[in-house]
Amino acid sequence: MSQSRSARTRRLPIPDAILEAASRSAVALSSFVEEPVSMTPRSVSEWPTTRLPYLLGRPDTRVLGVYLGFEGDLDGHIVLLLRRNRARHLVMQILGNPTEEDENMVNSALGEVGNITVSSFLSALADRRQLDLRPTPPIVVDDLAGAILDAIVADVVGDLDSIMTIEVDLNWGGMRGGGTLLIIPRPSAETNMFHVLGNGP
Amino acid sequence: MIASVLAVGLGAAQLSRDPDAELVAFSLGSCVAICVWDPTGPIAAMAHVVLPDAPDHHPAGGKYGNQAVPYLVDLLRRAGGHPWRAQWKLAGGANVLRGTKLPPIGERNVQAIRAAMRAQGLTISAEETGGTVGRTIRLRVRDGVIQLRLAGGREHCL
Repeated sequence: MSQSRSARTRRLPIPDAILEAASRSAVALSSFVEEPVSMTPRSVSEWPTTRLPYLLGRPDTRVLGVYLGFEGDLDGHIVLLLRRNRARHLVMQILGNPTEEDENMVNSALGEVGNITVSSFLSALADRRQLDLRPTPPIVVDDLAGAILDAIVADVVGDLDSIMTIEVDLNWGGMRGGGTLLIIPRPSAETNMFHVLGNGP
Repeated sequence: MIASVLAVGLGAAQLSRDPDAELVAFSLGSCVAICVWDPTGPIAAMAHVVLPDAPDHHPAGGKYGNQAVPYLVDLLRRAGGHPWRAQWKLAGGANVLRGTKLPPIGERNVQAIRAAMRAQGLTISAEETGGTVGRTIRLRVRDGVIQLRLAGGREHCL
């Protein structure tokens, strides 16, 4: 028997590939919103799968998840989790404080922001390692963090105890936000995440 | 009044005889919580099932549906409970990431648990599985009440 709070996270060095990918994501986002956006990886951690619901703080917090699968030289999943209220606030700034009737537009813009962030990140990693990685269309989900992730963990992680998480800070027109990025390749001897990123601890 | 909240993490199983405690599985998507409550004691136990079938020789525990049921039966017996008198309820098994190529793990989890329960001669007294929304499940030891909270904030009992 184990309990979710007993497992601990472990901080890891931030690989150069992550810094570069975040920088390229920021350029793509800046181009989309036509304003300067910075994206800074704050930390990289090994996160115990038993504690997935706690990724963004309280375990029953609703988050916004942007999911893409990827195929090619590697296959797996990439997910960006954003704190819902902050993400909405950021997007509403772009849209100029839309009315309630514009809810669909807000959701659509949130999806696009997430899609650009995640796709650019994946593309930068692929370029660095000269890998052919083809993303699937994005899916935006508004749900509990653990609920978004457990099917991915079940599909990919199997008996592994932890996954790698990247905490990112977003700074956008004076507004600050943050999120958590998870890149989860299907495990094999070739697809250790630090191997993919090019420099390990 | 709930004095103690025991979080049952992914793949874990836990039992409590503390009437002031509750067992909680937070934010289940495709995972399934098997909730067992024996009024004598009372005793409550919960498993947080992640996958349907364990690989060969995998140690017993709550992670796999086919193992979690006999594991809970054993836990309950060792605590002095009676598995065939207890109430068995299931919740979870949603398909949150619909429209992806991910296999329907939630549905498979539920099927594996049902098969394992049939094999043990156990019946399910209540169930809320499937759907497309995440759930948090709370099982109160004192009276066996199960509270479900959905991602949108709606709450109800099972």
